[in-house]
Amino acid sequence: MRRKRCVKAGFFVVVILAILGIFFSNAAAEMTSSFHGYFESNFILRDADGLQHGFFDEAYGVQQRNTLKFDIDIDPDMRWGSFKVEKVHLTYRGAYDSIFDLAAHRYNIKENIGASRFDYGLKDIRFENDLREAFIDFAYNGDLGMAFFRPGRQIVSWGEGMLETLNDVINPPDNSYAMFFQSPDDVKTPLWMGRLNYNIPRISSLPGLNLNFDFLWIPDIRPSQLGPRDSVAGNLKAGLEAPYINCISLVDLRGLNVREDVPTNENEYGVKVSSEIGDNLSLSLLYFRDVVNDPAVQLKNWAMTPGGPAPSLASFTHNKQHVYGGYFSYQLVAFGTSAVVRGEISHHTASPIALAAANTIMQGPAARLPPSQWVGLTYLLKPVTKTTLSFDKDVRIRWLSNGVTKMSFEWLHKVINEWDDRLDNTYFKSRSTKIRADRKNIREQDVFMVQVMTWWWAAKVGPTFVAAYNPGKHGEGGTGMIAPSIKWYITPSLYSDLKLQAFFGDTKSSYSFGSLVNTSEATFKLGYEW
Amino acid sequence: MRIILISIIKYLCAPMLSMLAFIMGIGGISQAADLPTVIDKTNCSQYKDILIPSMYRGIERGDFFITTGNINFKYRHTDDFHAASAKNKGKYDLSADGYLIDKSTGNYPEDLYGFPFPDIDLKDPNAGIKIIYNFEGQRNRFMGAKERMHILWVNKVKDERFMTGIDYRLYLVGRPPSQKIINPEKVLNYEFQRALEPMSMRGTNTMSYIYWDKTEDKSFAYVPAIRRIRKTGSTTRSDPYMGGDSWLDMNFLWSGKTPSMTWKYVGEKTVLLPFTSLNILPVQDLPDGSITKSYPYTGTHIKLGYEDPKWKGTSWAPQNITYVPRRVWIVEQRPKDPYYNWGLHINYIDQETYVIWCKEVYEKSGEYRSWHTNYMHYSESPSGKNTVGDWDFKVALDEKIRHASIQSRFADPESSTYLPAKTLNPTFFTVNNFLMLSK
Repeated sequence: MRRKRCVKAGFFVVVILAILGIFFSNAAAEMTSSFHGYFESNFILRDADGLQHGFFDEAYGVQQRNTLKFDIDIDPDMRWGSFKVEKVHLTYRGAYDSIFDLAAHRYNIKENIGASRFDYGLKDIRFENDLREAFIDFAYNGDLGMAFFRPGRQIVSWGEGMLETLNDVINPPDNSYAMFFQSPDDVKTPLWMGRLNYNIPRISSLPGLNLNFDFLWIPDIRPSQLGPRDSVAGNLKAGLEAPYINCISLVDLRGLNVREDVPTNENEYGVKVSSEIGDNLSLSLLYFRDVVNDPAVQLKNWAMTPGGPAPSLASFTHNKQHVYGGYFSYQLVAFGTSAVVRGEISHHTASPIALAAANTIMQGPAARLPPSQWVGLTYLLKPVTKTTLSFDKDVRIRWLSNGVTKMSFEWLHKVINEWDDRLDNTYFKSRSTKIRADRKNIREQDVFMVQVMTWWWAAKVGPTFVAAYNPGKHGEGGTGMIAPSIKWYITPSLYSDLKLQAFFGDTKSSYSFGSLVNTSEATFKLGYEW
Repeated sequence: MRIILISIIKYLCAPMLSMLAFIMGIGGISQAADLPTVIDKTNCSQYKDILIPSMYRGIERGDFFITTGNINFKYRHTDDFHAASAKNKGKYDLSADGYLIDKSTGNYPEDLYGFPFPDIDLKDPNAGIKIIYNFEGQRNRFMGAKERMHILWVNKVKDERFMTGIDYRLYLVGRPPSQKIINPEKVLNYEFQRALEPMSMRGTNTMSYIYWDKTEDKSFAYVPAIRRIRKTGSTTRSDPYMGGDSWLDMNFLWSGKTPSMTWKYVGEKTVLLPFTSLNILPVQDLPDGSITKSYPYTGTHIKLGYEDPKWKGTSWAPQNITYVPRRVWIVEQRPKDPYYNWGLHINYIDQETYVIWCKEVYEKSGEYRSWHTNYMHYSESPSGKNTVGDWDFKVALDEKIRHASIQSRFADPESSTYLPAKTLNPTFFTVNNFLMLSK
C-alpha cells in the first residue's frame, strides 16, 4: 500500500517538475503560447413538477453560476531529432454559484461534510477553483511511426455512443452541479494519468494499414462526483436537498450519514487498438481495468434499536471490474446513400445493480458477528452488456435551413446478462399489487434517440434538438426526454444560449428519465469568449 | 428605297459597328490603360463584358467599386516549371471516367510534375477537365504548406463571428522529382484545418484524405465537447464550413477529387481580376527549402468595408484592391455525386497560370447562390520560388442571404510553403497526431 502511494506521489511530482522545467529552461525564450477562454453566466430555472403537469408552473432557480474557463497552450520549441516537446497544456476553471446566497433560505447545506475529499459540502458547489488539465505532450515522429506520451491531469474519451456511457468509463462524471445533458466535456472529472498513443509506421507493402495503440495508466482514482449528501443519521427529514442531489434516487438514504469510500490505493489501466480496415471501416477494440465510477451502497454501523437493528452509515463503495468493448464507424456509400454508421459494444463484468427499494442483503448476522460489523448490501454485482447502433446523415431541409442539417439517430440496448431472483421486488410482492413485483423491465432496456443540428441566420444562430425515448416494458410506461437549444452569437465574442431539458412519462419507470421528470429545466446563458 | 436602306443598315452596318465596338472597346482591352481608373455603378454598364456577371451585378447595385491598374511584375510560373510542363506534352491522357493516366502504362502518373497538358486543344471535349488538371499541377508544386488563417463571417453591416487557426496541406502528386514521397495509399492530398480560437470553436478540427484513384475520400472531425474523432460522410467537403458561406472543397477554389465532377470548357474572355499589391513582396528562403510568407496588410486580414467609416459600399468589400485585365478560360463543373450540396459551378481560370481566380456557384435546383474570389499578390524568394496561385484571402459571398465569409492568411513566423517531406509528410496526418493536436 505504502509503495503504491509513493509511486503515485512520485508520478505527480515528476509531471509538475517537467512542466516547471520547461518554463524555466533555456528553450523558454523561444516558446510561443496561446491563451483562450470564456466567461459565462447562467441561470437555471427548474419546474418542480415537470412540464407534463404544466409549463414551469412551479418554477424556482437552482443555479446562477458564473464561470471563468481558459486554456493556455505553450509550444516550448524543444526538439531532439525525431523527438519533440509538442506542447504544455493547462486548463483552468473557476466558478461561483450565487444561488446559494440569493436563495439561501432554500438551500440550507452544510459547508463541509465528511472527512473524504469526495464528500462534497456547500463550499464545493458554491465555489470552484480547479486546474482541470495540466499535461505535457512528448512526441516522436520518425522511422518507427508516430507516438505521443502525455503525462498529467487530463480527460480521455473512448467510444462512439452519445446517450449513455458504454466504454467511456475513464473519467467519472461530475454531477455535483449539472446533470448528464450538459456539455459532456464539462461534466467529466479530469484524472492524473499517463497516456501513450502509438501509430505504427506506414508500410509500403500494406497500404492503408493504420494500426494505432492507446495505453492508459491511471493512479488517480475518483468516483462519480455527486452533490452534498448532508443527511443526518437518525433524522428522516434533514439533508439531500442540494439542487443536483435531490434528483438522484437517494431519498431512501435520508436518516443515514452518507459517505464516500473510494479505493484510492488502486490503479486503473487500459489499452485500445484501432485500425482502418478497407476503405470505409474504422474499428477499435479495448480493454479497461476499471474501478467502477458509480457507487455500490453498503449499509454499515448497525446497532440494535427499539424498532430492530438499524444502520447509521450508507457507505458509497466502488468495486473493480473488467470492461471489454469495441466500436466502429463505417462510411456508407452503398445504395446511393452518403452516411456514417457507428456502433459500440461494451461488457462490464461487475456492474452494481440496485436492489428494489428497502431490499437489503445482510452479511454478518448469519456468522453471529456483532451488529457493528454487519454490512447490508443494497446491490448485486452483475455483468452488463450495452450496445449502440447509430446513423449520421447530412441532409438539406429547405424549409428548416438554408444550409445543411445534420441528423443522427441512435439505438441503445442494454441487458443484465445474469439475472438473479434477488433483484426482483419480493419485499412488496405480497403487500401491494400496484407495485410491480418483478423487475424484468430493468433487465433489458432500449432507448431511441434523434439529434438534429443546423444553422440559421448565416450561422449566427445554432439550433439543436435532441429527443430520446424509452418505450418501457412489462407494464411499465414509456419515458422520454427533449432537449432543444439555441445559441446566438450577438457579436463575434458575445453569445447567449437558451436551452431546455425536459423529461416526460412514467415517473415510476426504472429508466433514469422517469426519476428526472421533476427536474425539467431551462437554462439562460450569456457568455464572452476569446 | 427605304426598305433597302434599312436592309443595308441591318445586314451590313450593324455587324461592322459591332466589330468596331469590339476593337475599340472591351474586346481590345489587354491593359488597364484602356480602362478608367474607377469602375462604379455610373459607368459599369460600359464594361459589363470584362466583369464576371456576379461582380458586375455587385457594382451595378453600388455594393462596391473597383480600381483598375497594372501589375509591376510578370504573373507567371517559373521557366523551370514551364520547361518541366513542356516535357509532359503527349505523355498523359484521361480514362473514360476522367482519371488522369500515363499513356505508356495506363496508370495514374505518380511522377507527374508541371502541367500534364501543356497544349490543350479547345475543341477537345475533355478540354475542361484538362484545364483543371493543369490547375492541380501548378497548385501541387507547393508540395506542403502550413498557413495561419483567419475567418470572418460578415453580414450586411459588420462582422458577426471569427475564427483563427492553421491550415496544413500536403500534396503527394505534382512534387518536383527530388521531393517525391512514397505513396502506397494513392493519396492525392492531405488536409488538416485546425481551429485555435475563439474558445467555442477551439479544437473543432477537420482532416481529409483525397485519393487519386476511386477510393472514397475520407474525412474526420474532432468534436471537442465529446473529445472524440468522428468519421464524417463524403459530402462533408461540400458542407458549409463552420456554418459559413464556403466549404472545404473551396480551398484554392477547388480542392476535391477532379473525376468526381463533370467539367466542360465553355469559352474564354478578358476579365478584371483582383490583386492585393501591384509590386513584388519579397520573401525569404528557409534552411529546409521552404519559403516564408508575406502579405500586403498587417494584422489578421485586409481592411474591409465595415472597418472604414467613410466607405459607402457593402460591409464585406475588401479595400485597396487593384483589378487587372487578364484572359481566362471559363469552365463549368457539375457534381456526379447526387448528395453533393451544390449544382453548377462556373470557374474563371487564368490562361497564363491556370489559377482559378473566381467561381460562381448555383444550387442543385439551378438557382444562383454564391460567388467566390481569390485575391492574390506576387512574392518571389531569392532562390526563385514564387507564390503564383497562392491566395492572400478569399471572399465567399452568399447572394441569397447577402452574407460573406472572408478567409484570410496572415504573416506569421510559422507560416511557410514549399515544405519538403522532411518537414511535412504523411505521418503528420495520422489519426493520433490529429488527436494530439486537437486537445
